[in-house]
Amino acid sequence: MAVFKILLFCLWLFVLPFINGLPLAWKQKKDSGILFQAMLYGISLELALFEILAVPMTFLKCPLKMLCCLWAALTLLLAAFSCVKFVWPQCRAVLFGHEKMGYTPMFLVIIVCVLLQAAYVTLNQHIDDDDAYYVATAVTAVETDTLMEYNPYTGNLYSKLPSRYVLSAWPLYLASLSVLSGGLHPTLIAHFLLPGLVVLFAYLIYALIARDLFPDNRGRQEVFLLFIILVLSFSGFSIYSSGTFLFIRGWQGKALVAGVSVPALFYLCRRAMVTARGFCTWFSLFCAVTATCLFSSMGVIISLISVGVYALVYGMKERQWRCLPYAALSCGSAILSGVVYLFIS
Amino acid sequence: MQLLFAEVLEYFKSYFADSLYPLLFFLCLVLIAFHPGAKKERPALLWPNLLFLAVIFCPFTAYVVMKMIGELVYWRMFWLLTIPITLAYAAVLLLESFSRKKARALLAAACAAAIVCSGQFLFTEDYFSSRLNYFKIPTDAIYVSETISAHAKEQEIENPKAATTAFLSIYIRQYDAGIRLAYGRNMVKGDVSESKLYQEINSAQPDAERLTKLARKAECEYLALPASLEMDDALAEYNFEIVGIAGEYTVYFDVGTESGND
Repeated sequence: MAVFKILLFCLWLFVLPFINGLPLAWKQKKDSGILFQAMLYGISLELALFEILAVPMTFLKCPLKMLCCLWAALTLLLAAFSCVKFVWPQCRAVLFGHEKMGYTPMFLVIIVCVLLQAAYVTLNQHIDDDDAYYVATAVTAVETDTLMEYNPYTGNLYSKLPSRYVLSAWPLYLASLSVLSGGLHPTLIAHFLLPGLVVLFAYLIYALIARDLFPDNRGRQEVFLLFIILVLSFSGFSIYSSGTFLFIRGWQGKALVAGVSVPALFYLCRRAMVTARGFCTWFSLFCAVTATCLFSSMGVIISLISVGVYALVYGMKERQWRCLPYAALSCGSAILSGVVYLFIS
Repeated sequence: MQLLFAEVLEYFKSYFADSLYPLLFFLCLVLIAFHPGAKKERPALLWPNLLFLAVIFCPFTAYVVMKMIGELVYWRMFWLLTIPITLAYAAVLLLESFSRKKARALLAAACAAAIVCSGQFLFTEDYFSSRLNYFKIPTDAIYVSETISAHAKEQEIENPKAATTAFLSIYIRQYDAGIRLAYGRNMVKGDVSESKLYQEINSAQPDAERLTKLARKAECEYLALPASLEMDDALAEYNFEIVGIAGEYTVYFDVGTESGND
């Protein structure tokens, strides 16, 4: 039974995002890293979809199971569409034609280091008091089949929605994963399954950045990744650093903003404005910004400043003024979140 | 304005503590600014990071952002800096400046040593401890939750309410949200009787009479107290019977509440 639950968990967290991300990755400039790109775009798309559904449904006081069903149905529909229209005809080319993995010694060292880090955060624990809110919100949502209607600290009904948290539905995403994976305990998902996976996902983004910064030079990409591993491993100088957050609190939304969203926004902004301009890249950036809003209210500010600054720099330095309206559109969800927050706080 | 700048500077100091990462980061930005090979990546790595720093330290933007997210978490703005990408890119750039393999290897070792000496290794006991269980919460919280929920099921009590130490209060509802608590983490926004209950339970030696009175006022059916307090007899006098021993805690049930004779 536990194996079945883990398989279901993998289906929602890996298989479906990958299938849904393939068309977006394929439609962009076919340079390299299409498998990793598919994973990044697919997860961003699914998280963005979840945020778009979860926030209004929280205000409408819908049950958690309704949110799960709606999100699962849309995700499956998207996956079916991707399979029929894209994955099946292209899978041979994607899987065997474009990704030639060479196993250099340095590549193996990178894989071993990343896996060791993921295993370390999975097998050891860091207890954080903030989970009394974040993880307990997920457990409460599953227990009561509601969306943020109960105070997670005490279990009492909220007299009014918590304005600071209601726009970032990450704990509800954990609750939905729990329901959709046949009842895996949300705390088990948050504390045991997610930390290692988040570390792997962060390195997947750094691998994509390496490919973009050093196209067609495998050696430089590998050295770059080795230094990334080193820099992150020695980020323990304070409890505030983004590296520390990534490794010790990987299941919390704010840690995902620090460790995953910031490099993802760097990658997607650079692609949208330089290497692979086009609708699909801007749409992927929109999804990543929305996913950042899902993670934490801090994500709203971080994504707005981040995308704004990249758009401004590329607009001015490269004379690409067309970037600015596209960047503003891709920040639409963050702008809306910010405005709604000002009204409800 | 000066005060605000000084405040941001304090956040900067807290964020980087005594590490030399800011110095390394600055040196890498200088390298990217002047190295001819980095011209293409200046719009991605140099100018955005300088603008991020300008936004973070500018008193006006700092004031606006602090108003929106709260002053206490302003240090999170330093997450905007793409430090790992910039350091790693600069290291590759530096290595590529040398064509001889030996020189490259020496330089790579020097760069690695600079990073190691500037930062602090993360995977240590300072941040991690051995896993106690798959839920990664104190095992006593699991035992207490299971004891309460099993007993409540027997007694057909829906959503039982409990009061326990500040330490355990953080974890009970991470395991079982079916159990209500008298107060949450750090006694956030509770009424006066719950606040008194919080103080009584967390005192060095709670007074049984006062404790049971406050627990009943807060409508708690269960109390979970450290067994080391040895309060079994004292609580029994006020009709709180032992339900079970849960790790280092003893769980008591209010028989008085059940029979309505409190």
